[in-house]
Amino acid sequence: MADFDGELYLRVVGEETILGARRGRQRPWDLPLLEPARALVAVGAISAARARAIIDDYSLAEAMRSDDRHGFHHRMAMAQVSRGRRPRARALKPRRVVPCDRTIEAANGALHVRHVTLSEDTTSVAITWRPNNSGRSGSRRRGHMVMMGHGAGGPLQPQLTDDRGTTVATGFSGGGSDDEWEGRLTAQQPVAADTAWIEIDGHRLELSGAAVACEITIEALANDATGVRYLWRRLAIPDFHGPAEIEESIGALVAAGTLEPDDPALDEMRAVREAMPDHPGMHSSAPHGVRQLPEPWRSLLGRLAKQDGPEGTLTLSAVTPEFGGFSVAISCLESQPDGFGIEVDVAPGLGHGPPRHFESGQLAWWAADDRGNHHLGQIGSWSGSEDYCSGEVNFWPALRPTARSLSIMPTGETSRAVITFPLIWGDSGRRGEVEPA
Amino acid sequence: MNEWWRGLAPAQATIGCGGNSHRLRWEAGRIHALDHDDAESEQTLAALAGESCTCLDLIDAWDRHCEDIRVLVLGSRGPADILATQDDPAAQLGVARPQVVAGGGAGPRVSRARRVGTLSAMGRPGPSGWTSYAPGGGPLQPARSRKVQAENELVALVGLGGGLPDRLVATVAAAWQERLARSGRVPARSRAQLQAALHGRVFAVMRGWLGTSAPPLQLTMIGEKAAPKLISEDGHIRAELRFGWLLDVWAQGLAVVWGRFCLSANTDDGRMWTLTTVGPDVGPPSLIVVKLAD
Repeated sequence: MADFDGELYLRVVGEETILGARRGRQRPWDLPLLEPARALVAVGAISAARARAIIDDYSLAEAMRSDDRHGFHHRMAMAQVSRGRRPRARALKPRRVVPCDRTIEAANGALHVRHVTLSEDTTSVAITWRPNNSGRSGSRRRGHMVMMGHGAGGPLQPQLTDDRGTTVATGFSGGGSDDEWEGRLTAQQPVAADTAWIEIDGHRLELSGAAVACEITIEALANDATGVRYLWRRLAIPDFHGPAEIEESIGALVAAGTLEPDDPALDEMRAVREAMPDHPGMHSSAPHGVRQLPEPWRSLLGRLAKQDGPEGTLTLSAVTPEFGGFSVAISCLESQPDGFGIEVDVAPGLGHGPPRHFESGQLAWWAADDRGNHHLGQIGSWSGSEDYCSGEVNFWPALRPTARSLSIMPTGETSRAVITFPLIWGDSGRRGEVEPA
Repeated sequence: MNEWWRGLAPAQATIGCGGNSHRLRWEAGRIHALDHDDAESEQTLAALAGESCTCLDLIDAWDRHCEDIRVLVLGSRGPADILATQDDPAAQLGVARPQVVAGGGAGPRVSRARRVGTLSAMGRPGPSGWTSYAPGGGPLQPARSRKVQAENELVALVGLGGGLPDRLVATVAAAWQERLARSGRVPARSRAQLQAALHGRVFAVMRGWLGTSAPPLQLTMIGEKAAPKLISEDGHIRAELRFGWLLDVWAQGLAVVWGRFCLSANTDDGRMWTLTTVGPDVGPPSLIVVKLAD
């Protein structure tokens, strides 16, 4: 890599992209040069600051060639957005998560409370809201569009009261349809974290349940900045639209001398890339040669089309210390036949949408059960800021029915958290239950 | 200062300025606001009235960006690289239209001294105050970041019609060619930007000359005194060209003459050119002499 000029490489790719000789991006709304730039930053072939400057240059150049005036102004704005350094990590506060499974019938709909999360700095209530205008139950499928405020069924801003007599207003964030909204009510100020009950607009909920206890460890990862390692990690971080395109990254890494063009791992990566679903729940058959793939990809793709996952919900209480610049809290796991999802909070905020950070700004969401099966997570509904974000991570393939424990592994570049808990389901097919320990 | 503009024809654009159609003209390395006889006085009056003068603002912007390598990134690579039409290029400057605001307790001031009606494209007048940029016609707003201000100016300049953007590209290329010829040393970052700018324009010419299925281009930017060449090797077209090719060949419209790729172009008077060219077979170079008849 001694003679490789990362800036020149990216700019030449940018020139050929401008002239239509290269694709330059996976989707029309992606920033040009993003994938090769990320790859070169990851292996130390260029600084993140220079890569950002080059992307800004060619974003603006492309905008000036766009007949779409809206696109022009959008790209101008994106090219001009301030790109500060990623916020420093701060560990999330310990929290008390209480399962509820209580439905409050109101005049304008039914409010199902799934669990309540209390800490010294925040109070939130995980809910499902079914407005009265629905004559049927809506889809339980996750991944709805995130919306703030209230749904079609009317304002959803109840007041919370704790056992100290403190009453606070709440705001709803979540997503859904005309039939059903799912999300959380967040109190404008936290109520007492050890309160014995809360009232939601006068309806009292005893907070006597206990979340499933989790074991949390932090593991260091090998810090080798090789092209192969980068590409495998990149494949493990799909976005809303599916797995990342890796060919531009491969080209950049080969040019930089950190990857051999005939490295046998490239064929494996391409096979994995081809087989990965764009969205959790999109099923296809396992690719040929899956047995030859390295783990965790072999077990991940081996159960690709299975729809035999157990149905159930676990309320979890897990907050990690800082690892690799992140802190993660998990409050709920919901399993369905075709996959499972978790509700998480992350600090600082994950880069989402057009990325603003190259350095360690993303987590790969791996999971593994006690039978050696692996699962990969993809961000679903999501909201947040630079400092904090929360939402859903949806995993595929489905949980194996015989699995007895699961480890969720949010994975940074240099370390990962391993959050392990037993898979003890309540009545089969019912939500909101957990067997007593 | 060498007469780097020799051979470049004048260029002129008409823009909206103060409700009128005004002319900006580039000729012999300089840009002129033809409809402003006393630019400094007009600008002072406009500033006092809280107004702006698009012609003079664009000339100021031209001056600020006449060595800005980003012009080479944003500007056209040739006929196949068409920029989107701006209904009113000067309106884009409206996003960045200078509006004089009070600063530091002082009264309204213009951003810098301006010569009367004309400005050397390579000139470097010193700053005499500061200016904030806000949407034209709107209320005064806080100063934009310098980066946003610079980009808005670039967009306005590169969006001008009448061949002015190509002359700005030539102006920037001339400035950097002179630096390379003088010392041969520029910062590595700038060198990468210059080579990429050269690559893009050579690449665009090659695609037009040999077709889009032509072998891949491998370009090396050589010193300003080294001999350029073009060879076909190992399934690649390997080009070794000076950065000055941008100004001497590409900006003059001499990149392909008689179906032959031009490696270099030399002139003493800007009217008769001796071109070193290579045919599509990428064989030995041949000379072509081009003369502008009286």
